[in-house]
Amino acid sequence: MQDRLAELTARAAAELATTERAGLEDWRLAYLGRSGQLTALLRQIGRLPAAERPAAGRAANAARDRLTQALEERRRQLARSGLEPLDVTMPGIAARTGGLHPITATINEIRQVLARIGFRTVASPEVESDDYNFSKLNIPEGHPARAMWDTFFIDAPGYPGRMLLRTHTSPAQARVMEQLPPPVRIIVPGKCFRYEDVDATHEAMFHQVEGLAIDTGVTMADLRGTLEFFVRSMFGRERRLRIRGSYFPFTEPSCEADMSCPFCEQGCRICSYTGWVELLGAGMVHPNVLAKVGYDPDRYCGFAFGMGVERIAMIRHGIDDIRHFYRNDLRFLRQFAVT
Amino acid sequence: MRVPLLWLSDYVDLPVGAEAIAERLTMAGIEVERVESVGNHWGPAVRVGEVLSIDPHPNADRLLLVGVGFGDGQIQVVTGAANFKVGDRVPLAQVGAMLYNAYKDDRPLEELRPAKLRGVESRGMICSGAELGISDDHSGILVLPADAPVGEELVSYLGGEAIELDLKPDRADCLAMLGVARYVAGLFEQGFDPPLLGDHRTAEPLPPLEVSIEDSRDCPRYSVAYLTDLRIGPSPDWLARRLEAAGQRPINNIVDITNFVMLEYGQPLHAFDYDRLAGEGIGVRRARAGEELLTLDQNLRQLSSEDLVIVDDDGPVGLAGVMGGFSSEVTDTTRTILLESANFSARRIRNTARRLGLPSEAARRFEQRLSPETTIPALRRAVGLAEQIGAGRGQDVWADAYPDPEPERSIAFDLAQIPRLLGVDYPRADVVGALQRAGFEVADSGSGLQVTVPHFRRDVSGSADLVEEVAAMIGFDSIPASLPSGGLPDVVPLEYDDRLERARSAMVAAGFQEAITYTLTSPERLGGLYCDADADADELGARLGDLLMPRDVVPLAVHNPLRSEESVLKTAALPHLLEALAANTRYFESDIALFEIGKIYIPRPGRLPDERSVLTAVLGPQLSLPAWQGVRPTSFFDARGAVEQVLARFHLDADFVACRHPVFAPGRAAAVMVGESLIGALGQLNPAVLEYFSIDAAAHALLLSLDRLLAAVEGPTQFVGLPRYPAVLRDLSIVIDPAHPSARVEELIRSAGRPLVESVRLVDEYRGDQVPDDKRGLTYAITYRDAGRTLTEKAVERRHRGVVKALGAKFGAQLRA
Repeated sequence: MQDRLAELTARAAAELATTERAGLEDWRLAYLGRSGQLTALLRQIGRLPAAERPAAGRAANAARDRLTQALEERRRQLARSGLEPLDVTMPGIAARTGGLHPITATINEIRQVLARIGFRTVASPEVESDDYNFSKLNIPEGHPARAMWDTFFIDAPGYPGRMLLRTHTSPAQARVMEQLPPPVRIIVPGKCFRYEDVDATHEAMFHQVEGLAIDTGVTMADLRGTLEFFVRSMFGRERRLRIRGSYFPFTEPSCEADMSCPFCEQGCRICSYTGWVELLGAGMVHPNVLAKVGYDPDRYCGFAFGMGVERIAMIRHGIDDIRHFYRNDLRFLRQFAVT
Repeated sequence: MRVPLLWLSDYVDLPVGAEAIAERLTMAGIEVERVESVGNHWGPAVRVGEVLSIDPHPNADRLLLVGVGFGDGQIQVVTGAANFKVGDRVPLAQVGAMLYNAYKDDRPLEELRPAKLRGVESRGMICSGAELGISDDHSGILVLPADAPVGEELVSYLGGEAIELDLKPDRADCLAMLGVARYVAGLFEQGFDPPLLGDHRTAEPLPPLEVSIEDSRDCPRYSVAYLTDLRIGPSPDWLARRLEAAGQRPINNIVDITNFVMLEYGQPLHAFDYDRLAGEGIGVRRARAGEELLTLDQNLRQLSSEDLVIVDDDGPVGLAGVMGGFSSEVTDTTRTILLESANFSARRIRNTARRLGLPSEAARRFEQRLSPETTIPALRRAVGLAEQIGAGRGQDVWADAYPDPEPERSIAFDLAQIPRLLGVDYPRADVVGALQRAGFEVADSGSGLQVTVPHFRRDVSGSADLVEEVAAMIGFDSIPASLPSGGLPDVVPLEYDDRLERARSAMVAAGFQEAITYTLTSPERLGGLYCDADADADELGARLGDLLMPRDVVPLAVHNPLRSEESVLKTAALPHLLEALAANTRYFESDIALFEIGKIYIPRPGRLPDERSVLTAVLGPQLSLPAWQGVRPTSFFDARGAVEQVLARFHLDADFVACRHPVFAPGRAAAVMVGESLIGALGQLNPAVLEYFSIDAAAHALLLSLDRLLAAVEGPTQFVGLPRYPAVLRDLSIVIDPAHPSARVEELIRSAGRPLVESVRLVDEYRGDQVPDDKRGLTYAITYRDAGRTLTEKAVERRHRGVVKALGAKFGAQLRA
């Protein structure tokens, strides 16, 4: 019996060694299947004398295990050897995706950073009234500060008051405060317009993000802390913030914030050799602005800030000319395919 | 405002250099644009020269040969300027000097080399202010004072440091050397020494002058001095040098005095020839309609009732604060000068200066809010200077009309405002000191302070202003950093709908690059969408046109456009994207896929426009297959796929309904309907429109109203239990008349197969062999499932036959062999 098992195993193994993938199932049926040759031998064990059965049974089981194992081995061997080698240096296959405009990507990042400290995003009209763009911001008609904003006016016969393209995102301050009692903590990203000749650093259309926080007890220290948090989150924790005096009619005190230059230690072209990069304008909301929206300026106070998104994107990405942003040249846009 | 340290140090001891002064001013809120070291680069090659001879150039009419001496030598130079005469002192640059090239826009600093000009060698040049870098003036040679020392290096004569201030409108007091000096003295805790002013009544008295002011709101104050015994000539060196260092060219002693006092006090002065004025008085009033004035520049100006004029008995003799009249100009024959020192309405002056395009140093100051208290000191200074330098004698207050004197302004300052606004407290003594150094008078008033605002600080009116003064004086860097605490609102009005970002990311995932285009456009571009006169719209097309690119709406026009191409607010987003597509075809052959999420602005009578949020996308002629597999033409279904991807982000199902609109090619457009709501359109673009936008390839576009889309979105998706019994898949291939759209076939399969049909998916469209020419083959994969039990083969077969039968009965469809 053992001899026949040995002979059968050897024959099966030899045959397996030359069997290709397609013949493997036939081979299995021929030896290990229900009517296969090994199975037939196993059936004969019952007819052996009782004393021989245990040894024969062990040998038969071993033979079956060996052939089963050999089959698996052969299967793996064929799977390994049957593949053509590939040129792995060829590019990968992926679905074609687009990308966000760098201004959108920058606004999204600003929003995410400031959302972490409770600033909610508000959307406000781009076409505005003189009233919201100026008067409610403590810039009455004839105020010399109006010269700070060169304005596109809109011909709108029949419109009560003058219509214009907003020169900043600040009109949203009044629009929100008129509808919302304090506390307020919002940001307003959006397009703004200035009647201005276009050059490498000026566009007639640009984007701002306005920030506004009003409550009892909001201070300029909170403004400073908020801006430091923002600058370190956007530009790296080693950045420093500097606050200096300035003037805006809708804030008092007013300030401008500069950031330590992200490109140099001692001064470079980007920071005009000062070590500081101008970042944004800010201040404590003027009591007149609060009073105009019906807030009690003796009870509530707070800060506002406004930053130019193009400027921030230019600093972050080292873009040297603002005019790239709205030419929509794919050679430019695809460099920032942030999604 | 250019502030030479030479001049500043007349009034204050400067304890530090220009850079440190600039830094401190900037931190306090008076921004220094730059610090200039005038003449540091000139070197010994630029000296004070003397014009010895002037001869015509032998080969050029417009050039002169000038012999210039410089003490120990002389050279001949060639120049195109002619504003000098023999004996004048001029800046002489010899070969090797570093000068600004005023003939190039960016005025680069270049080394002077020997040159031949029309055959004559020139080994140097005489310079304009622009070439030296001390002014923008390149209209002629900078003629130096007559006593300038010939041969001396120009840097030791004219050089020095100056700081250029970028002043905000609040600090009109710093449009004056004295104002800057006063603030610098305060910042550095130094003494401040303004000029001593005396009374000047040395001249023979003239008869009293009558001054009439029509409206004190237009002209709060009008003060007048006179000068007689005039000796018009060059100014002394010290005065001329200060003007030059401040960027003004000296003219003669009288003009120089008015300029000097304006720069020193910030108060513009105007000189009239008294003898050429009619009558005994002078008035300030609005111009009457139809009045005209020949101004100093010999232009006849048509005046309007918005202009403020100075008048004598015969009518206007000057445009108040903007420009004098030609008829009363001071000339060599003038015997008596009427010197005006007035305070005009900033708004009046701004309007007139803007309307007539006449900016000037004087108008620039009047446009800010000047103090009416400065008119008299400025006159005293001017008459005093005239006597001091021998230009004339006079009476400093001949007349002074000040109908409504301004009251003194005083603020009760609660010191608690400082920590309340700044988040930091300062000792009382520091606060008092800071305010005093800024020029405020401070008195104790209970626990707070009573603060008197100096007349020159027109910007200070309340406690918050005083807090800023204190912070600026002590330093904003003393403010600590903290984060706002306190509550936050639950709901914010006007909150941005973040779901828009889902549409944006869907488009990015669909392979589109985001673009941002201009809000302003031209009527021609908007009209380009409707350039095909033969194309029309069906009812649905007209509706989608009204929604996304209205044809008959007159766009809002900009009153003051920069360019005609940017003169109206866009009522459609497509034109700018098509231009971007056209521009990119220069660089890319495939994969030009651009989208924009932005506004279109639809006018509404009497209201701000309807700012509609739209998603617009364009797709160029070809798309690349994944990596190294080539390209394929773009089809309608690529655009539709993008729409479907966007809708999928909002779990919206849409019907795509064939429609006709002039923007799209006939038979290649669909409206996107969610239920009854029209939310957008897509299609292949009309070749006429593409040609209009210079695109000579096929292109597709899609447009979605995001307002409508978001309105159609329902609440969170509700979970459907997972199937418990297996599905059976059957393919169905039919041959059918193409008049029956696939969507209708799908609908019929669903209804005829109800309730067992779970889903239907088109897997193939076929035309060709075995399908008649007027038919098409469609293959659907149908999933059958019974929610309650395992489907039997028999049940599926029965339902499937029912579907086939229904397709045959309704659409004449036959099973494909």
